[in-house]
Amino acid sequence: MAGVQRNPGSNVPPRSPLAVAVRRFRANRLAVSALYVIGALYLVAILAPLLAPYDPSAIDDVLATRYQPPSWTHPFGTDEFGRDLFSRALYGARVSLSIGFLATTIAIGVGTAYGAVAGYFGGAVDDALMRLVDVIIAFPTFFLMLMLIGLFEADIVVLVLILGLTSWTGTARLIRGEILSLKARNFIEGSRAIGLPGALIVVRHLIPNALASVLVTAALMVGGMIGAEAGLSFLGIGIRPPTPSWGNMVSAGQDALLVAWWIAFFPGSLLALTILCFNLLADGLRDALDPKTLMRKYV
Amino acid sequence: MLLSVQALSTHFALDDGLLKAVDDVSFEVEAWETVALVGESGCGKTIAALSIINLVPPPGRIVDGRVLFKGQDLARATHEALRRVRGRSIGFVFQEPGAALNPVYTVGGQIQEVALTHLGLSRHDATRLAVRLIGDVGIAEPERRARMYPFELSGGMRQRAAIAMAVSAEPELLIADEPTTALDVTVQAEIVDLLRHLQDTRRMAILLITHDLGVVAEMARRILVMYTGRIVETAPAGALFRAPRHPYTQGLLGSVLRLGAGRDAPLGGIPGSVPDLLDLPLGCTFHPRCPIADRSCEAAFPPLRPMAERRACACYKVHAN
Repeated sequence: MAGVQRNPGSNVPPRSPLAVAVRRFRANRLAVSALYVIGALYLVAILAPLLAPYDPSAIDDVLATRYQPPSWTHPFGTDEFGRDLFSRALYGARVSLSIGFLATTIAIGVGTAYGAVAGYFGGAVDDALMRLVDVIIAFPTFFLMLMLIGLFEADIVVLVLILGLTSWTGTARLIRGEILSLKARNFIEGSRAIGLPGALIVVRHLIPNALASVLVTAALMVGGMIGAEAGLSFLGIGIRPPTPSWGNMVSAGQDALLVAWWIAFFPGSLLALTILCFNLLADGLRDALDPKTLMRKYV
Repeated sequence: MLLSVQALSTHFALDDGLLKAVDDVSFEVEAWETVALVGESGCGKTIAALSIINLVPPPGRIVDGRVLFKGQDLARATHEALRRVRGRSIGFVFQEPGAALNPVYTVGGQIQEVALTHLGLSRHDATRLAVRLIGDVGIAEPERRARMYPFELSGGMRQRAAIAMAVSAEPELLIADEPTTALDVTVQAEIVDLLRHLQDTRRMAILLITHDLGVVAEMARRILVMYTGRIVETAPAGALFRAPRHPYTQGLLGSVLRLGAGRDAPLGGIPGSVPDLLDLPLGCTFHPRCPIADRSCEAAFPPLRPMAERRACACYKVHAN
């Protein structure tokens, strides 16, 4: 076989849809920057104990240390108890970011499995499952959350579960739709004609093809979850002080906004930045993973 | 007998009525022979083929009859039993080139998957088998092609890969549903050659579903002619081409363009069009288009009557001789 290449494109290595998507994502500088920022935020959150200059809950001489504006010793200033807001923001990142990530994982996991089952089996199973989703959607999520939080002590685990388990319905609908349209594609009929077990068809052939939409939804959802946690904490029903979360830090700064703007400003900006970055990431993923253009021969 | 389809009926209960896509169809396929099922688009060929492996899309349903494959009735088999037959003992090739190929996996990986599912090979052996098969179906540089994705291959190569996948578990029967229709003429000839070569080397039977009489003439030993969900004529290939009996078969053969027939030779055709399967004419469904029909044809659909030379014909006007 050495020597003559009949096909001029023969030296080009095979390009997997994933490789194409990665290359296209890299070309989107805004999305790549957003990914770097998100990566940095998560890194900082993980390393918070090493990076934080002060104990986030330490209260010393309150009258001497409180309401200090941003300075070299306290980059984000101090709050009404004299706690270092930079350290609190670092620890708050842990809470906010991990809640965003974990709640999204739960919502996406449950939604994907649920939607895949409904879409794959179709018929009466699909009808029953999707009517149940309609019922759940009809129930106002926000009040459901309030009710559940009233019932359980709102620690991080409970909050993650509540946020995750009230947010999977949209994903379930999306995935069901994807699976239904994929099922009509020939290769699914083909994989049945070669006698693949049903579970293998779902896991190996249906879900991977629906993965693009899952990823985009997930990226968008993390931002939403972080916002939701902040909202709940701001209202005083999420993460309770003294455990810092960006939401309850904004809430704490609210009263002193005119005299000590920095208390709410920094955690609020971090929140906005994080949510913005996840939205940009989701946009970038959506463009890079667009299945309409992904499977073309020359891209 | 490898495959014996007996009085098979597959119906679709639609809102507009009952669509009898396959109606009381019987035929047999022996080991290592090629049988062609021919007819116009929409005559029920594909549904007949899918019925054999019991993969009729809903709301279609096999309502009657038996599909005996090596003595096992596939029309009544469990999901698990069917799964073991599909891809293992019966391979299936679809019309769209490479329809069986999933866009997100490599071609080799998917062929390998069949081997892993049905043959219990180790991953290493399955990979080697996949590469060998890709070479067997005439794709150059099989090692490299195995690592490619379906969208990187041409239509002809995709169809070859799909055929490799269909024969990977060495099935005894290959059902090929219009395997060449969507391809260029030159590629069609290559695929026909490939199927014949595979049949010779693997000694499998082929049920070829097509409307292309050229392909049929090259491959089939016996031919089944289908019209509106029923078989109207069966005959050995030579006899059918030499002397078609059923007026529909005569019309079908008369509509083929022949090289060397002279430029003024009329191209035959069948008047009218295929009737709506939901609104079939009474009696013989072909009678409104038939040149020799009379009042007796409007009473009931004629039975498929056996004739000399292992043929059979469903027409009141054609007499056994």
